[in-house]
Amino acid sequence: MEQEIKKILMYLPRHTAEKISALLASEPSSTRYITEIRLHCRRPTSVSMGGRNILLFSGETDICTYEEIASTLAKLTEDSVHTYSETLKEGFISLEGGYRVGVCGSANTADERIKGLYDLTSLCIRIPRAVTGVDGAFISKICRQNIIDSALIFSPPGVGKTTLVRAVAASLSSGTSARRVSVIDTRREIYIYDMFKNSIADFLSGYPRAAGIEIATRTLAPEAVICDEIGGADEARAILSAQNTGVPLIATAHGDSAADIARRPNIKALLDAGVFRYLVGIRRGGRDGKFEFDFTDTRDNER
Amino acid sequence: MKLAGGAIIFVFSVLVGLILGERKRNASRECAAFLELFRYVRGQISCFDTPTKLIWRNFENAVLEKNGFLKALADAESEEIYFDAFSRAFDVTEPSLSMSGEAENLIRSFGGVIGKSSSEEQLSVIDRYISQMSEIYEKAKAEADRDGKLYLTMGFSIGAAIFILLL
Repeated sequence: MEQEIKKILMYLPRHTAEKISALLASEPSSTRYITEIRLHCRRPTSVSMGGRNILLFSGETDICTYEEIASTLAKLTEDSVHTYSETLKEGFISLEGGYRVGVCGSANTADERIKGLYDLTSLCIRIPRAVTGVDGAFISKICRQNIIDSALIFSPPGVGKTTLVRAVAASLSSGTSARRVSVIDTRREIYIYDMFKNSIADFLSGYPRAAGIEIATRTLAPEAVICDEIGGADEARAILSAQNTGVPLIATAHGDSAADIARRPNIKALLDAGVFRYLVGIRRGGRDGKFEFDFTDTRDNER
Repeated sequence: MKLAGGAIIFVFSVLVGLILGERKRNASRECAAFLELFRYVRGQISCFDTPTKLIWRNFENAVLEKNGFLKALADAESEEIYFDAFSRAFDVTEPSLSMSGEAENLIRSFGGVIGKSSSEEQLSVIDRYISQMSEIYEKAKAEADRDGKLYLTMGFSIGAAIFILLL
């Protein structure tokens, strides 16, 4: 069983951890990787694995009580739920090692803003994957001699944009031709110690993307900036401003196709300004689930 | 012989009075120590949202050091999953405490809420605990003052009476 999953099972209610272990033991090794575990209060627990959502069942459906959900969250945060109050209002907490936990419940609101969360109803635990060697084709395309081209990686949720961008950041910032890479790790999902222990990348953890991009380009002299999940107006403004410095940006966005993301106003503004050389659609293909890339050279459109 | 025996009984009786009085004073000091801890926790959460583990690490109090509570909290850090450290540290320390059952129940239930919810919710809950603990502390302090003198007086009186009877 992979280390990341073994670690998270210790925090789950015992009956849930046992059912997940039993499920993993019965699966073929090629698909034996869980990307998400969802605990629901008084409803079935499920795992996402190999592109499927599997309800946990071995004789009876696995169901968690409210107390089990609350204590799982408390254990994951080391009895410090209050430390994550700000991100809880945005519906998630990020833990050491790249784990992200989506938290659902009843919102306490004022003036259309979420003040707090109570009566937890579900936890969605996203398992990071420290995968190397998946970025070869991508880096070969965007790195030519000493030049890195800006690229926007897109796909629907759950395909592996963060896994890919993590591998790219680690590859670019390690080894004999290591580059100065600044990683805007807003949700603290990109950094995993094992992947970056020999890397010279700078991590701006928890920084809002727009502020992180500005700070990185002004103060860290990066040779590339890497950012996950762009799309907002503030981010677009910061990226356009940073473009004046000539620093290449590798970013990700949710989208089904190049045409789909090009329709979004903020992304369209970046494409019109020529920020990204490549739009890179990714998908998992074949029996081994390896990344497959569709590169769109935006300069071909200009010609 | 009777004089020696009488003197021993007198001293013993006064000592018993002192010990019982000291127990009441310990109870009052323990209440004060936990009240200080509650206020410290409130400050740390309201100002810094400090992780629970760090709150315990940076807190100093002679009474809670002496009765082993802070050490039990520190020992919890070496466990594989850090959870409910306060409640377990309190369980370890409880046999050596002199506080009333009411105080112990309040402290135990404080351990059940610390770190388990967002900062807004915790602060409002902690404020209630501080208010209740303040009342318990005032009561314990008053009892320590009153009963301390009472036990000493009784110890002295009974000891003296037995001494005189033996003479």
